[in-house]
Amino acid sequence: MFDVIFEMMSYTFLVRAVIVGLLVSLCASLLGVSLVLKRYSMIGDGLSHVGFGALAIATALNVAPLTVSIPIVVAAAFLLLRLSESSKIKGDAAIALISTSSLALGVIFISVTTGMNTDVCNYMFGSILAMSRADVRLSIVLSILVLILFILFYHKIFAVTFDETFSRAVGTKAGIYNMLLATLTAITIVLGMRMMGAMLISALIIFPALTSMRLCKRFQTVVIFSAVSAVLCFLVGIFLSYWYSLPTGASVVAVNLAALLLCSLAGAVKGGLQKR
Amino acid sequence: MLVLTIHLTGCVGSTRQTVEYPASAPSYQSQEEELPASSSEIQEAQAPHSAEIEAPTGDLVEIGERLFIAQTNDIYLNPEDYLGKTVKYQGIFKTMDWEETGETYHCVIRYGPGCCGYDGEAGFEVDWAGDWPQEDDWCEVVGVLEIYEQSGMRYLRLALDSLTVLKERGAEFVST
Repeated sequence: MFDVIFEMMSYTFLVRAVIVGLLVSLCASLLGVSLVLKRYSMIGDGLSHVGFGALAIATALNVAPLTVSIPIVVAAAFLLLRLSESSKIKGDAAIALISTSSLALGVIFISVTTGMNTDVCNYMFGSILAMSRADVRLSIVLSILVLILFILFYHKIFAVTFDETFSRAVGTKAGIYNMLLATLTAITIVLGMRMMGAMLISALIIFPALTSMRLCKRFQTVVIFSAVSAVLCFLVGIFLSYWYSLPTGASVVAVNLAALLLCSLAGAVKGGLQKR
Repeated sequence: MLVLTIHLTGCVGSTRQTVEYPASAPSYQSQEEELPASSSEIQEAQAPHSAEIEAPTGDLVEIGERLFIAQTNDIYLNPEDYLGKTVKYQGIFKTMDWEETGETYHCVIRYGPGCCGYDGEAGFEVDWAGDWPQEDDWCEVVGVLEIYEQSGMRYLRLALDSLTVLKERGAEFVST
């Protein structure tokens, strides 16, 4: 097995994929805890569809995809939050509204310009093994920025996640921290779409948080376990994808699913033992 | 602009159509900026290399079956890391007639995921002084990666040191 790992690391594009994948998995898992607790699990799916639309348009116009899609997805995240806060369109409906519209507009734009091609298909299902140096640099910088901001504002994010009403009552500007959460999520989604694809990126956000919640109860331990789980699942997933020549994104999700099932079983056993 | 050839025979009417590559998310502009601009590294379409079989020199990049598309994509996305290196791989010999120029181009490719099933092709244009094999022959090629310029566009190709037709075929369809 170690021979296989050394063989994998002899490919520079695999080393780049591992570095970017680890950082993005880490960011997604940390943000995922708050999003799952706030019942915004599907925001990843919604924003990824917006990102797909933006990337499709950028590809058709032959401009750098990431620099176009990041501001659009961030704007969509703000719009989602504003819609959800209104009394007319709530969370899940707002996500469905924006995500399907973006996807449809992206597909229409693509069909009347370049046509559906492999580039566009790769955005749907991911292609972490095909990244230019510029994309890798941008991904690393943005991932580190997300991590730093999350750590800096950890306590505020915890407060608005756990009890937003109480946070507002004690003077915390919950709106700003919700916007921060949305922005960090948007950036992570766009970066993660390169590796997982628009269809699967939400798995990186949801699975680690759910997995850790099977075993952990305190917010801090959930966050830490979620991060560890995400990193381990990514490494195992990319190893298995190399070993069995499987799509990388799907392999990572499959490993996350296995981890969730394992932890659910362990949690059930632990709960049963505690009752005795 | 670096232009690669990928045939979407399942999705477009023409059987030969040149579209921009790489197939996976490229940054065309950044790729364009990173391409070497010195005249010594950009060769005009010229007489092919010697037909004599020579041992590969310099770093050898062997493209295997396990990550055929990923390695190929990486060469197209980051050509500056591979220019001048010797590339070795196996694939299917194909010819393409370019209607605009009336020229015939030769490639060694494998079939991969395109838009509709395995209608994509991954590989490289090759330049060879010897006799060309038959269409669809399975070949092993060894050559040096270079960029050449034609009609104001820059293209990647392999200047072959050897081309060997093999009886035993490898995986014609690759997915990773």
